Amino acid sequence: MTSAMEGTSANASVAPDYSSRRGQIHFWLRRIHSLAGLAFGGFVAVHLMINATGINGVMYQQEVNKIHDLGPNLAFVEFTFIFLPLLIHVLYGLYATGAGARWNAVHYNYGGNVRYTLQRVTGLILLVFLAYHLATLHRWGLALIYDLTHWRALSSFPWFRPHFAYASTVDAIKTPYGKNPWFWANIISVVLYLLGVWAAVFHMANGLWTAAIAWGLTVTASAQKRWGNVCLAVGIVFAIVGTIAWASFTILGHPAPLPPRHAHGHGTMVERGPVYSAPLRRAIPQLSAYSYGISARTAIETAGAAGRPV
Amino acid sequence: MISPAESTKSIRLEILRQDTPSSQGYWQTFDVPITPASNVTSLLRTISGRPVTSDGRNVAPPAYEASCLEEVCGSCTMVINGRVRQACSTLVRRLMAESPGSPITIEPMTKFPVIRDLIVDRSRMFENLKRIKAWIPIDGSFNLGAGPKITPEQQHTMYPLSRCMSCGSCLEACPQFTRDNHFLGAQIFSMARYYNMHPNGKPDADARMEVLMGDGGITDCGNSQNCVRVCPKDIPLTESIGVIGRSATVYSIKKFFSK
Repeated sequence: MTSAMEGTSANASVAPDYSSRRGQIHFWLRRIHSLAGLAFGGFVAVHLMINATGINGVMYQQEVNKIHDLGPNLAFVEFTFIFLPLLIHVLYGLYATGAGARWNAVHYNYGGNVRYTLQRVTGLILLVFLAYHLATLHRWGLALIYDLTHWRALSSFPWFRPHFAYASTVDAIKTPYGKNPWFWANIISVVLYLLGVWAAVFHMANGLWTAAIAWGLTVTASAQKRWGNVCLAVGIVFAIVGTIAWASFTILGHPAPLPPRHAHGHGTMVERGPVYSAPLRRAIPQLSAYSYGISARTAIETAGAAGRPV
Repeated sequence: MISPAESTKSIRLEILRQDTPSSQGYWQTFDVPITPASNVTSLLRTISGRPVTSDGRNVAPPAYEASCLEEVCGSCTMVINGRVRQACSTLVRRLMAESPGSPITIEPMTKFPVIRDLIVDRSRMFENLKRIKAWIPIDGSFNLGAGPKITPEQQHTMYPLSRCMSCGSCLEACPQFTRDNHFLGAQIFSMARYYNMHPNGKPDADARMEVLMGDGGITDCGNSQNCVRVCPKDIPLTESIGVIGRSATVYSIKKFFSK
């Protein structure tokens, strides 16, 4: 200690008030950030599992139907359990990442420090990825802008159509920029999705590990190592699930002809919206069959098995 | 002290120097004779004996701190070849094995204000110790008698924590601890844990938690765990961070419902 040098101290600036109200609020924000991350991570886990059913177009359509059967409640569920936690997590995460930290994984290349840095890097990657993902695949993204403005530039851009789940997902991920899958912009889309899935899985698994320390669940080095192994296993499982989901709609994805968005006499809002119109609902099996290239008969049987009116 | 006549080899040293707390830093290079037992402090002492740079200029000897010469005081902590360590226990032989053929770079710690050359002002650590009441109340105007007993198990946990020499290595390596923020850092979390465990320190545990959960407290830990890797005294710093995290969870619930 150089307490004798206190007279020359250059850091004797404003003494921080360590027990300030600001600090207490910060403490709670940090803990809420952790909980929000757990909630959103749970959604991502379910999301990846559902999308891994994309291996089978019919199964995937059934899963999508289950979700959209929530009807008007879907928006409430999405906002409360997905978008609100995401917003809190992102806002605080950006603040914490930018709050004067000095990354030093080059000089101190320990595993923990590399993970610390990756957690922040994947967070930033995910911010870009999620912006693109939501804009192009969520009905509150470009689709909503199109519905409100009827902007011609968006009219040919593919987005997710729940009644043609498989084919529209392939279209929106593998070939959003023209039918040639080897076009550079299409390749970027496909690569961005793989990067996004892996970044999400890492961020989720590593976040589980650090959350346990933040809340004081794991204290000793051996407990942290043990829980670390569990998180690693969770990460590996979801990396596999996520990669299957990605492959289903990209390298294994087979594009199928999609009806034009206005083909069946309904506006895009009705088609994509959470509310099923009765005539459209009756038309679904045939339209679905059209989209993933199976016989209409199989589609009708599938819909019947799922307890849907045909 | 190594006599130049005895040595057969020499090594190049690049030192980041700074004349005053507010002036710009600049690099100077020295060629220093070495022996198999040389450590960085001995090299600095050799340079002080004959402060001539490798291009033959006579300069003021680099200012540095050194006291115990056996890694228990922490005063000679500096950044050597990009990593924080004590100059006295850093053997030149090991550094040469780490990066063969390249010169040794020596910089002052980057997280504390430089006073001159390799001497930094670490009073922030001392101020933080005062903030968390890193002491136990002892006799006042009269003798309080013998204190409560500490079990061998408690002592087994507490002794490693008590080895902290406030060298600042944990803070230097921490990506969350910067010169312009208020982060308390691993040293403080570990010392707070130590005094919260001490039977005579317990009465101040809640006051410590208020500080640890405030601005720059446990909230700002990013779990890079560099602290425990660079700690020269092998203090289980990350375990202390976990303990403080747990105490904060319990204390925040207690405070929310009953304070």
